[in-house]
This record gives sequence, C-alpha cells and structure tokens, in this order.
Amino acid sequence: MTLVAQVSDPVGDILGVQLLLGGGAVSASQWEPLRRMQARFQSPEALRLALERKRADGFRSVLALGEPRLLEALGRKHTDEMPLPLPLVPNLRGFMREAVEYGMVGAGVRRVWRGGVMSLVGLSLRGLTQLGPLKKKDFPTYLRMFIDLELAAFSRHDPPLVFLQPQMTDLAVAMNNPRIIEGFQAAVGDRTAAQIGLATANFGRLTSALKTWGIEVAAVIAPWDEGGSGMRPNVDACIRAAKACDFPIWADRLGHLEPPQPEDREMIRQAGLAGMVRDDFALWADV
Amino acid sequence: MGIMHASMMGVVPGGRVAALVDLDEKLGLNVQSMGVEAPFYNDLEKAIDEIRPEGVWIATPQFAHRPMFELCVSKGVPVFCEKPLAHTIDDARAMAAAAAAKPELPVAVGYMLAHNPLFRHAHDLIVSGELGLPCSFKASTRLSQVFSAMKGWTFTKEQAGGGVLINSGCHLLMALHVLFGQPSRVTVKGRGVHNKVEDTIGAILEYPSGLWGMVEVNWSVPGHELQTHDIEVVGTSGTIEVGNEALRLWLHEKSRRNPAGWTQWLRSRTEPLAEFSLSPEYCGDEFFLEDKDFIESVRRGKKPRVGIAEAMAIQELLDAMYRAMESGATVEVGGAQS
Repeated sequence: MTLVAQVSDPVGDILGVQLLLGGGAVSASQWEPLRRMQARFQSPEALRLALERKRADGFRSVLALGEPRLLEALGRKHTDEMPLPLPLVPNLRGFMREAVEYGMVGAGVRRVWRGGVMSLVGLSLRGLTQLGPLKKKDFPTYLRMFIDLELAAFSRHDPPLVFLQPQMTDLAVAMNNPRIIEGFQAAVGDRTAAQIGLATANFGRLTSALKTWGIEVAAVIAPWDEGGSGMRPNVDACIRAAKACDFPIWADRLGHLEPPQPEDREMIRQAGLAGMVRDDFALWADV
Repeated sequence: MGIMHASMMGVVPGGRVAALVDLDEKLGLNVQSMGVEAPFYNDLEKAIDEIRPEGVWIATPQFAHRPMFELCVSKGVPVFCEKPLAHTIDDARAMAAAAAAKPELPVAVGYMLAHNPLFRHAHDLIVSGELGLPCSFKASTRLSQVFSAMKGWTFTKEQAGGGVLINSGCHLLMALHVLFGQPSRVTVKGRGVHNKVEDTIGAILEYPSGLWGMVEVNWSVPGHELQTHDIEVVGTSGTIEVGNEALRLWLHEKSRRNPAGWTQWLRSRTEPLAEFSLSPEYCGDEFFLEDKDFIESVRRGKKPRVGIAEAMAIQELLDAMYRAMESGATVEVGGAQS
C-alpha cells in the first residue's frame, strides 16, 4: 500500500484538529463560534468520540500535536476505530503554554513524565553521545532531544509518517541550515520506523532548499487554496515547484473556516496534490 | 525577537547578518548553531568598528535600548530598534534628540502592526467618509501569558517601564495611531492581578475631533495563545471591525465604493504580502515587511514606515497613560495634535 493510500481518506484528505485544540488565527467575528465549538470538545472523552466518528466517516489519519487532551483521546495504542496519528512535532505552542504555567524546567519535566520513564532512559543513553554539542548549546541537538521526548508518547501508535512543525522547517530554510532537518530526521529514526514529512508556510523556498541540501522527504504539508492565500513566494512558483516534486503534498487548510469548495478541489487536482489537511468548522458540525 | 530578525536576514532581499552582539557568549553559540554564520561580539562598539555594518537591529529589553541606540547614531549607523523605544519617557526623548541631530540617518522602530495594510485601509475608509462621522471605538489586545506572579525584567516597572500596557498594549496603541492619530486626553484604570506591574488596563482615549474610545489590554486571558488586536469603530454610516487577520466594513446604505451590508478584506489576500513568513498565524508577513522596509530605507534613502516620530507619539501616549493610571485623573497627552 502506498503512503498516500495508507493515510488518506477516499478523497485524499487527512484530518486536522488544530482548530479544535485552540490553534489557527481567526478574526474577531469568528471568536464566538470558535469558542462554542472548542467548548464542545474540551474533554478527552468528547474528543475521542469525535475522532471515532471521523474515522467512521473515512478519515484514516489525523495530524496530531502532542497535546495531553489529544493524546488521552487517542489512547496509548492505535486501534482501528481511531484515525492513525501522524505526529506534528515539536508542539512549540503547547510547550510555551506549559512554560507560562510551570516554568521552562517544569514544562520539560512534564514532557518527560508524559513520555514515561523508559523513554527517559533511552533519551539519556542517546544524550550521552551528544554531551559535547549539548554543552555548546547546539540548537539542532536540543531540537533532536526535544522531538525525541515528544515522540515517545506516539511510539506505540506506530505512525507511518511524522511531520516537522512549520516554524522549525521554515527556520531551517531561512537560516539555510539543513542540520535542523537532519536533527529531526535522527529523532524520528531513534523513536519510530516512520518516514519524515515537513510542514511549511514557505513551499517554494523549501523545495529549492531540499534540492540544494540533497535531503529527501516522504511528504510535505503546505498552504494551498483557490485564492492563493499563504502560497509563498507566490502562486505560480508554488505550482511549478509542486509539479517538480516526487513526494506527496497535502494542502494545509488551517485558518479556513469553511469546508473546501469544488474550485479548491479542482486547483489541488490540477497541481497534482495528494489532498488536504482538513481543519475547518464544518468537519465538526455533525459530531 | 533577535532570532526572528536574524532569520529574516536570510530571506529578505539584500539581507545578511554581519555580526551577532550580546553580553552572553553562550547565547551567541546557540544562535550560530541555528545557522547564523556571523562572528560573535560582546561589545557593540567593537563590532561596529570592525564590521562597519550597514545597519544595526537592537532587539534587547527596552531598558538597554538607549545606550546602544545613541552609540549607533553617534557613529552614523542606521538603526532598527525594537518597540517600545524605551522604558522611560526621558530615555525616549533623549533617543529622539540624538536621532534629530542626524536627520538623514534612517531610524526605524519595530511596531510591526503599522506594516499591516488592513489598519491603513481602515484609516482610508474613515478619512474618505465611508463610515460617516466616526463617533466612538472599542479596542482590545488580549493574550494568554500571565496567570501567576512572574519573574524577569518584563514584570518590573524599573526595567520594562510597566506591565501589559508597555510590553503588549503598545502595538494596539500604534494601530490606533494609524487609524486616528494622537489622542489629546486619557483616563486609565490598571490592575496588577498577579504582579506589581499592571496585568490588565481599561482606558478612555479622547481625540481633538471629539472622537473617543475605550481600550482594554489584558495578558491574563485564557484562550488567546496568539496575541489579538481588535478595533471596532462606530460611525454615523456604519461600523468597521479591524484586527490582525481581517477588516470588515458594515454600511447601513450603499456608498459610492462599497455595498450595503458587510464587505470584508482578509490579510492573507491583501497586498503587500511577504515572500516568506516564519509565523503565518501571528504577523509573519509584518515581520518580513518591517525588515524589508528598513533595508530599503538604508539602501535607497527612503523614510522608514515607522520612524522616530511615530514611535515617540506612542511613547508620549504611554507616558500619559501611566500618569493617568497612577493619579486616577484624566491626563493631557504630550505631543498631541491640536
């Protein structure tokens, strides 16, 4: 089975839950409907039932942040009744939220705790080989260990694909630093048998950078819509870049409150994209 | 913010980091390991003398701005200074005086919302009369950052100059400045819910035209992980709602340019857009655009969009608001337009 067939629903889509978990920028007029929707899924149990419903609707996988509520809803091990989690790491916003409440050290400790004691043992053993870079505050090494810890919570789900969070991908692109991607690649290899994917807000520049660096990825998630919103550096460059790619691309729909329209589907089909990461209000209206 | 600007230098046309300067050498190593290939200095003067940079970005806490700013200006090096200009009005005025002595030198200040075209478009709608006579407004900045007593310079009056108003609310004040210019009088209530500095404020701003508005700034609100800036303006012909992501105009009756009912402009579809964004969910376009604007002002000799005059207007307003908060009285704003 191909990767796309393994993770996509019948029209090629992956389920997104960032909107439910408080992500995504919305305008003031959307605050009330967003709050009402988020309030419905505050409990892990409500979230679990919603995910089960979406699995029954055909979604095979869900782009999953390492949020405690979502992890609890997903359960410790994957079952056929739930969409397969595709981790999106690191969960920077979740870390910052916990850092506000518990301090940076406290937030780190909570991640270790969630990963379990055995994950810490594995991390410590790997950390021994990285003492030099850690002492020098080497960013890619720190990132690798941070991701390693976060992935521990997903390891029993056997994810086939793990995505690097867009700010980290784009930091690597902006800084022209492939070591950031390589650190991610190493952490995924240490924890899982998954292939690596990258989420980005800068698709055109990312594909150029990957070619220059000689790094191969299994998939990319990037903004894509009929109006060209978020397609950087511009629509034409993104379409050209997509046609030259030999890996599947999913359209990032975070921030779109409406379900995809036929013209969105058509644009995606013409560009040769695999599908979309659906993350809109309409998904949850019937749950 | 230093890392954000350093990363933008890799993607803004003509940008390159020539040197990193900080007191903490380990921080320098950390930033270099992110991919910034530039030498590290712990002395700004030495870096300027040896590197001869085309411009300096000052992205330190505000209490440290003045000496670095004055050093750059005295050496004739263009400066981009993060907001707010300073933690005290005295420091800000001294910086403005230093800049005034070299009027040809580009000086930009990091109020990124002024680079968001939605606020400028809202201003155009107001001055073109689409809204009729603007009567009043409500404006708020909210974020989820402070839920207990916090440590660090951000939470001390002596180093930050205040709490949520100067650290976060100054962006909203700049957005209001783009819309309406400088208010003439302010009345402010502030409260330190968790800290000695204010965690939340409520204010009334009065303008020479008779317009007035209510401002709320609060960094202890759950559910606002991304800082929001929302302004609602009520006029005799309709209403404007404007924020980071969208501008909406509601008209009772159609005008020459817009239909009756709602008309909406989305940030993601309004030029200028950035060719690169590191944080699309929070002002990513604006971070790119403000750095591009500064580089162009240095290379082409054009005036930065947010210069010392605009930053001083906000600083005078902040000073008046803190005086109003402390005295409990309505206070005249320095530098107000008559």
